[in-house]
Amino acid sequence: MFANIVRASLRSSLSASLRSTTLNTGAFRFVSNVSKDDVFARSIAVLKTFELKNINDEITSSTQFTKDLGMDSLDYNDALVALEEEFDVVFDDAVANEITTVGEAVDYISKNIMPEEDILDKEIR
Amino acid sequence: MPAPVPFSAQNAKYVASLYRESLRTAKNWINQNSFYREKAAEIRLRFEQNKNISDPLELERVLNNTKELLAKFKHPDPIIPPKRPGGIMYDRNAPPRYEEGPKNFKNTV
Repeated sequence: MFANIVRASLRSSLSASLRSTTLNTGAFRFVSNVSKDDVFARSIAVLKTFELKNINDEITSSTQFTKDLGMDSLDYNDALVALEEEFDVVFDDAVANEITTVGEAVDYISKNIMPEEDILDKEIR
Repeated sequence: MPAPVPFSAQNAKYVASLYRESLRTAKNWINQNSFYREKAAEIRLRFEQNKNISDPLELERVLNNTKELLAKFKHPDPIIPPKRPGGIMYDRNAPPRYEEGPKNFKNTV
């Protein structure tokens, strides 16, 4: 009986370690490989195409769409849709209404982005 | 849905979601970006024209009208990114790519 318990605990610890290693090596493709800085740079490029209040100001993650960029609610939603197109991400209604800063949008995108998989041959696609 | 309250935060959110939906619908139909921007400007103008409605009944009528238009112009085959639900790659496993391609045929005889 004792041996059984030891075996069971061993198995569970083993499987736990296995799980962590597979996650670390990136064997699962659910984990996005696109870095947050990358997402941030691309979203800034998208935002720069809009008419902003202070074009020369640097856009940081704490920049607010309405205050700092001078967007009204329609501009802001336009920007969200543009970001959706850029990253193939869909902002749910609940999320989109709560986002106020660029950083929050970038967070949501980097969490939900599904990068084009490198296992797919682009020429074939 | 209960009657909308003009200028309330809830109504603003609802209108924002309608606006986003109409932009997506326009994007689904229009391929070329310049045409899409024209359409987006028109959509924006239509929303701005109804910015200051304070009569709840009028507001409800306009919102229902918008919803009808969205249903009318809904794309039968919208653009869905491949790996999203409804996309062509959703829930499918792509075969792994080989590190090296198959060897070229070489006549050894």
